[in-house]
Amino acid sequence: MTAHLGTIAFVSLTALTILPAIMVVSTRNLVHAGFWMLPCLIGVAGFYALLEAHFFVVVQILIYIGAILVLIMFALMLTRDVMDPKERQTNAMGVWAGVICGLGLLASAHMLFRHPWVGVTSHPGDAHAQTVALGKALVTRYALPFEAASVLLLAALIAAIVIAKSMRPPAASVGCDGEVSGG
Amino acid sequence: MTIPNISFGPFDLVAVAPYVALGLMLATVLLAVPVLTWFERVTLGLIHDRLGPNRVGPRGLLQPIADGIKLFFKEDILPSNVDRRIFYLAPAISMMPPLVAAALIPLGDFRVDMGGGQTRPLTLVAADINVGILWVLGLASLQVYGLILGGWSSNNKYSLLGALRSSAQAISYELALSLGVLMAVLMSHSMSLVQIVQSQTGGIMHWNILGLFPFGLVAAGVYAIAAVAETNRAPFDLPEAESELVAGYQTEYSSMKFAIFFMSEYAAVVIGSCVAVVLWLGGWDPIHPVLGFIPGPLWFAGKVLLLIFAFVWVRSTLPRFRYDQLMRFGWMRLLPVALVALMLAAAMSAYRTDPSAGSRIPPKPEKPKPLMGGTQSL
Amino acid sequence: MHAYLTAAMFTLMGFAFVASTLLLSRLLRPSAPNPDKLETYECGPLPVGDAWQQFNMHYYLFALLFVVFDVEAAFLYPWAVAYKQVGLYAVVEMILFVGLLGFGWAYAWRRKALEWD
Repeated sequence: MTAHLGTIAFVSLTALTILPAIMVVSTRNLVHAGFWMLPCLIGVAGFYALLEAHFFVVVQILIYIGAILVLIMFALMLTRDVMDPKERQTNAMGVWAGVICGLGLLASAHMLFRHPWVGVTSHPGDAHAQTVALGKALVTRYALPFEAASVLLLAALIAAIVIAKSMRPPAASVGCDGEVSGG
Repeated sequence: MTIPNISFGPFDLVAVAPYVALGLMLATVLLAVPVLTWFERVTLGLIHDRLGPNRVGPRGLLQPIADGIKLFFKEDILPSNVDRRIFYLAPAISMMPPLVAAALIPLGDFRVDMGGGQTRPLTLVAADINVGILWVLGLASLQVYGLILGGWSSNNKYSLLGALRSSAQAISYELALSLGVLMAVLMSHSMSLVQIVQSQTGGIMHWNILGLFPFGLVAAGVYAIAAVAETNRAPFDLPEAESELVAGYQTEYSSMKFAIFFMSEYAAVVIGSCVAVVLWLGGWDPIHPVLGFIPGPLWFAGKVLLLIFAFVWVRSTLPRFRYDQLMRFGWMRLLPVALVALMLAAAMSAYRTDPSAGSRIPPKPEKPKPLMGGTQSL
Repeated sequence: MHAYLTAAMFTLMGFAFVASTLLLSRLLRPSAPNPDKLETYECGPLPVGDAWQQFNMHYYLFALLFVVFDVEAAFLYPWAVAYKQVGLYAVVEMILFVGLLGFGWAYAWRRKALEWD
């Protein structure tokens, strides 16, 4: 019975993820396309819930929906001709891109079916235990990757500022320290 | 407080408690608009030394009902060049987060007399989630969509500018909000709202606001400022700065669609106050254990009302921020203060208890283990 | 699992609530549209063009900064529940983590990326 419910949940979550994803790529209106990502990302959060990774369910909502999708929406609203795009939706390389993606899909399907999957045997524990374990692992076993993540974030931060500041009209691109950022 | 286990037909008190909590919170959120508009206008009248509502019913008590009926009968104008689907969806999306967050707020806990001299703990909460406080933040971050989509779909320059301003404001202060919340998590070692309250049991000296002094106070201040900004209320009500942007992202909204935006704002005020009480003011914990004979939910409601009064008080006292001041305050003052306070507090508390930190003082005995009886498996 | 069902139920209830109030008011309210009334409201003058245009780049920069710091906050949460069990070592590591981002923040300050203009 529970396995049955699990299957139902899996299938409906898949639908919730894939149908909006199709809308994202097929809608011509860019802002609508961005908006369709919302149910799609909620579907992904649902998969985490199904895997009982409770911390990641809410991080998915907090980061992907609450932050990254907001960023994407801002970017879309910055775009010109957002409501009635005049360009074609596909480009000249569409066929080749399709072929390459198709091959990639076949390859990954092949790998997936060949892999000897082992069922999960240990229960991940409740959300609190998971979070504590994650927090401990971050500062002990995975301390180096953790600090590396900080460097990555720092790089992203500085790059964002450099790019955004260099997009100013030339007069404004001279920083307070007289440094010209090549506008 | 021990109460008898009353039974309702086949169900006993323990079984119906989550539904009672759910009903109470839903009623609170949905009735927030009529009750709070009245409360706000009366309080503002008091502060401004004028009469306030006094025409409809005694002390203007029926005014919100009259307003509600009026809104139902107002013509709904759907401007000709809006993006219709999103225009309708936006108010619904803005109403959702406070409604869902209502299910997470714990209102009190009791010991239920199960008969035969046995008692068991019972928490009055609809859904006790172990990562509950993160859910509250996640839901708060969804509120941005109501603003962005409402403002963008209106196809009005005022609306769009209002939406952009308010969403940039919301995300900026969301950072300060989550860093403020982190301090409470750090002090209570839990992300469950129930356990955060239980870790503060024992009167005002145990509440998080006075914990790790002075950092608890600093973080509570950061949370309070960020919560006012998140709910777009004065002095951070720039999205609806009527002297600059007409009504911001709500400009093209009328009738019930406007009312729903309005409701979501007040619901967010209520939820923000409830979360503040849970995080900083000990939830349902009485100010001193001596006063424990007053039921917990009453304490909770009293504290929430006090904070809502503070919301109104701030609105009537402070002038509106200018937009550049607002962004500078959020990013250059609030954010560093919150981060530095957090790091110092962690260092302080770790130094006090870390056995390897030289002092060799045995760690303080842990606070009594939270009562987990009513907790769901998640 | 139960809690997720509660959340889903609440979401559906919220939509039902909004839909039913909109429906109820549709039954009650008058409807007398005319072209002038349905025009975009700009305090009287007829609007020029529509509002879907490019806007200040600076909003986007704030969104970018927000993403970076939000990811940082997400790292801080599991740390905040667990650091006591590791001790001072965990705090030092987190100060390093936050300190590195502090550099980025100081850079943003210096380049006036945090200022509105």
